[in-house]
Amino acid sequence: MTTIDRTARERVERASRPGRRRHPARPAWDEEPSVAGKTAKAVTLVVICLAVVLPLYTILLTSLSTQAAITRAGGLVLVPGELTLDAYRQVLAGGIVTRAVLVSVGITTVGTALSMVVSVLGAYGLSRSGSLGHRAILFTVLITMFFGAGIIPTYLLVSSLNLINSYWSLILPTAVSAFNVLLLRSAFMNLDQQILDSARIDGAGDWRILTRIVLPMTKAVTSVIALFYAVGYWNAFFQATLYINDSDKQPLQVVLRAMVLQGQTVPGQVEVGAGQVSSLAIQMAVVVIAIVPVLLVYPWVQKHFTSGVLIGAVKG
Amino acid sequence: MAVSTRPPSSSATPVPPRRERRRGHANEVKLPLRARLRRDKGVLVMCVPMLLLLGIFAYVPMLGNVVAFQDYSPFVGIRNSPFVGLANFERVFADPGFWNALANTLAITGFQIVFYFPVPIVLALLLNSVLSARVRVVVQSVVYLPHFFSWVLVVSVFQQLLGGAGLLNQALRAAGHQGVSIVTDPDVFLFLVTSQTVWKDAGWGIIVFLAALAAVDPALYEAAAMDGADRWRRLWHITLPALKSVIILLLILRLGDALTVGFEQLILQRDAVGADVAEVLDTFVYYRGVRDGNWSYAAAAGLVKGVVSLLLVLGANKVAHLFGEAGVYSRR
Amino acid sequence: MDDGTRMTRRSLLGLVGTGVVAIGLPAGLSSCSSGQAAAPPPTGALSSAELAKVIPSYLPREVVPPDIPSVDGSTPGFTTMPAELVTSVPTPPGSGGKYTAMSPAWWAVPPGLAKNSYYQAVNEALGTTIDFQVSDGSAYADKLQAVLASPKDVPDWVVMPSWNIPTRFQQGVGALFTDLTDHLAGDKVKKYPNLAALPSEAWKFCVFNGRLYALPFPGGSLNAAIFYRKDLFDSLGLAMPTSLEEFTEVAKAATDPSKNRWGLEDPWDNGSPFLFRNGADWFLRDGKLVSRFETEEYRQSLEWTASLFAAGVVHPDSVAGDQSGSKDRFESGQSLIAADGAGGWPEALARVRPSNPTYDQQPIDFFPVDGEQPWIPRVAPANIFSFLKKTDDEAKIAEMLAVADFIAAPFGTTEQVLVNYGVEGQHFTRDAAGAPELTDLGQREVTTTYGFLVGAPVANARVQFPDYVRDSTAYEQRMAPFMADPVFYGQQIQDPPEYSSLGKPFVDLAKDICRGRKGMKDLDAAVKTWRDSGGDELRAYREGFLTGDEPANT
Repeated sequence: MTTIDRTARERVERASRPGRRRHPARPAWDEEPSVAGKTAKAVTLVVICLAVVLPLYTILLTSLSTQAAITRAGGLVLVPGELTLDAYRQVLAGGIVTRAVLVSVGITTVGTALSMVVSVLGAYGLSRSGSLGHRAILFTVLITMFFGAGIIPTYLLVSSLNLINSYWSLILPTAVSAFNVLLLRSAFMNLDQQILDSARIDGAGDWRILTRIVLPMTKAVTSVIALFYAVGYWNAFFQATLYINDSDKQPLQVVLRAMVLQGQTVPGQVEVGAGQVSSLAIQMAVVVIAIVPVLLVYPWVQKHFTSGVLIGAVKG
Repeated sequence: MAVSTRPPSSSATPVPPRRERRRGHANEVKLPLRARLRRDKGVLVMCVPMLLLLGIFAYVPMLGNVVAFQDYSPFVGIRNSPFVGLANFERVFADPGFWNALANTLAITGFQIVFYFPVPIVLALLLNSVLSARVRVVVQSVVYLPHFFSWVLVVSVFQQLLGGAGLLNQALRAAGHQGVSIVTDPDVFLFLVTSQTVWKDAGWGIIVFLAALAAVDPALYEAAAMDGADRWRRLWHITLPALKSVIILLLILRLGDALTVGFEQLILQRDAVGADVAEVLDTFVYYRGVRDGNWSYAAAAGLVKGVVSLLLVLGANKVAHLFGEAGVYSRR
Repeated sequence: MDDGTRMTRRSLLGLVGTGVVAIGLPAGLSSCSSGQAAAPPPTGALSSAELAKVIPSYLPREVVPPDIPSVDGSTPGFTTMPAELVTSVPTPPGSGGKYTAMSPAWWAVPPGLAKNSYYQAVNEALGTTIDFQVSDGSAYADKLQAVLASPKDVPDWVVMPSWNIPTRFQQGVGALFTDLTDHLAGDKVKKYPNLAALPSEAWKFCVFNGRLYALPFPGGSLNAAIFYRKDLFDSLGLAMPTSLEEFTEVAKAATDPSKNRWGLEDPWDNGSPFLFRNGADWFLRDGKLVSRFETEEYRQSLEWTASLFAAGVVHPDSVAGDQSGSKDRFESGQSLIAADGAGGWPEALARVRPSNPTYDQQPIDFFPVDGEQPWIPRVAPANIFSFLKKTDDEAKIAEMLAVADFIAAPFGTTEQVLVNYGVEGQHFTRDAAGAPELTDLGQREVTTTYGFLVGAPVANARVQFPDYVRDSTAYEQRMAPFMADPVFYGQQIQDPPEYSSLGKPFVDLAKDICRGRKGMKDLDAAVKTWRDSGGDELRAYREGFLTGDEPANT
């Protein structure tokens, strides 16, 4: 990981008990933990993972079960019975979900890009305490966390901007999150100001400092904020039901949620179409389908967790 | 002590050298406005897109909150609805249900700040100490999944486990025991909702802290180790200070959210334990205002909530300043 | 409350701000409506004679004679498909217009018009293009309120479930939607024979502010029932209960936690109050209007339900308030008695029969309690309405009504089959009994939203399940003698918003009392609070809707 002078390495190695295999990733200066400590850590991690994986298993199993198996279980299935892919077949049939995925990916990509540009600029703009109007602007941002707007005023606004039935109605109203801006700002402010100051003395402008020094040094936090924004756009459901009228423009969450509704009782004698496929299996298939992209995206974010510091160290 | 051979202000240490900065302020304040404008033009311009978006999409509709002072009907519009002064606020405050909901909300928030808030931090530290990158990625990818489950699913998972007909009670009955009612016992409700929150969101909450930990210069650990600091000392003197500012920021923001606790989570379990313990502000406002299209009442309650939250944040921020922390909102 | 000058200024601002200008309302109208907001809402019911003047004449038409004819208002039943379908609207009713229509859906959203061969086929038969904006049913109330607040976004045709009608709708209906009285009242409806065949009760429910504004989706008289698992009862040697005591006994006998089996689901919402003749919101006792919360029957039904909970015969998940899993538990035999909407019955059969051919759920007949015969309130005669956006274009209104006439075609017509199942061979095929069965394409594209624009007369035509048709119509006929019109039956009444949440504490209290967390003392206190905090005013408001010809003891 990092280079270390020979004598120190030898010292540490002498300190650790002979004959124990060291983890290759363990830095040389790090002492070997006790067996009890290692075991406790391993057990804790396994328990934590099981606490998530077991429910996930029943969800997956239920999504793959026939109505008969679900009826026998009377809810989520714990013991595998007859398996079928019918729920997935029904959910994915006809390309409706595929098209909705494209819509969602588009909104998430464009939205996250816009949000990140605006938020990074804003957070950097607010990160120099003592700058002109800094407190007022910060307060302006902060207020939006506590005072929301009702459904009707927001709808009237979106309508008066002619954004009804436009994808922009799913992006612009939520493009800036005060919470994310504040997190970013805090990360920017925690950078060593001396590096920034010396860059400034070298004649670098704010734009250059932001793109060449600040962003590379805060890769971990910025990628987390990007993840927050992306997840927000990906999960957005309510706005789409309000602002989007065309069925073909609906994002994934709206389409999936409608499938989950199937089988719920509507007041009165209205019969909602109940197909042969179990509504519970469909609901669980929808859960599974909705988390697949999330599973895929995390390793990408995680990649940025290690690189930030080294660049900073080089610049410093 | 040994660690201090590297002063915390050096290199990539996240805590900013406060004293220097403050001295900087003192100089800056004296500058004339035009000079400050020239100096800060760059950062001011950078704020413009954000301010534009917030101005249009947050502040313009926020003006709609004026209905809190009206007897508002969407069919006649804000401009034509009669003003009623503070009548809606009086109705909010006169309702014993509001105070019950407020008390429950604060109880849940307080409980969660103590028993939920530290969990992601501890988990992040635990995970950060895992050496194998592959194990880290796998564990993280797994534990943050429940964040993407709906509350309906989370509550039903807990019910299948702990409910009267759930696995635990089936096992107890098979062993000849009476069975325990966990999900319908108002006395353990706080524990139940908090453990649900931990299960659902702790894994997700880790991420911010992991990102903050990534900003720690490994050289600091190395130097400390060279100076003889063991792993606990290194945790105390390097890792935790690195997390301090983000912990404080999140804690303050959580306080600002003190009056917001899982709306869907509580509505789903309301019947199980009764409204006396499960009614929180958001559910209260939903049933008294939103559900019946009583927009004026809902707006009044929303404003009350907003003001209290803002005061809580500013108060917490003040406390943070007293302890020499930057908090969310700096002094100058 | 408000002085005139400020009002005028606000009204002027309002014209700019709220988009009233966009629909071209004269300024006078707008300030008029603002005056209305301050004035007390219109009270007083229309007498039957007045109502008769605004609703269409009733001209029933029988296309196919039902296999099980209606008795005392019970739903007619069809156990077989008619051999020959009748065409009731010979030529396409439309004249090439294009209309947007907003509707909720409680199922997967079908592809849009451009990619949906079912929409295209129906539109072609209509001669009119209906372009649906389908919205998630669970979020429809919010969408509706937002859209109605923004007149320029109101589509040409708006579907509104009765439970989604916004508060203060009377203030908006006249400005937003077309008054249909002059197009449909009395014999004018004869132009639209299928609309004329809709029952008068359903039309009465479409009257707002004394005028006819909506097209109805008529519902059956039976709303909900308490079901039991007859197949499992038989195998356990239990019989359908015929008294409260027997009910409790079978619930206890059915309960065996070690076998993961409980007597029943929480019976409060659709069950107990009906057993205790308490299934309506208001009652007329000795000429005085009484809320159900104030009645002795309400109290008794609570006490009885609480005794069931105390006996441990209610499924624990149901005790924990999880009603969404109720169907799964009932269908899997974890609980043997469950109250459900009437529509849930055939849906359960469709779900479970393929894997469990002996599955049999039956409704429990209402039985006398304390020597009194059952009293089952007739439910709202229509559950869903549709409104036409305000327009003066007579040709447009006529075209949309003609389209509605097509959609309202009854069971046994080619129109009914097209609207409900699409095109034969493409969207559906026929099973051995001749019943339509949706193909994969049909599953994706066919949707009930045309049907929500206006309903056909109610018919029980689940020919796939002839036993269900026989059982449910027989049940309705057995219960028919006990069916009664509750006070305010069929009247479209909206309570003022300040009273709309008065009932909520009782919903919570009932759950608490049933689960033994609270008692009758708390009920007394809640009733007192209710009366003091607006209940008595609400009663006075409601009394304004009494017509004077209510039957006794409602």
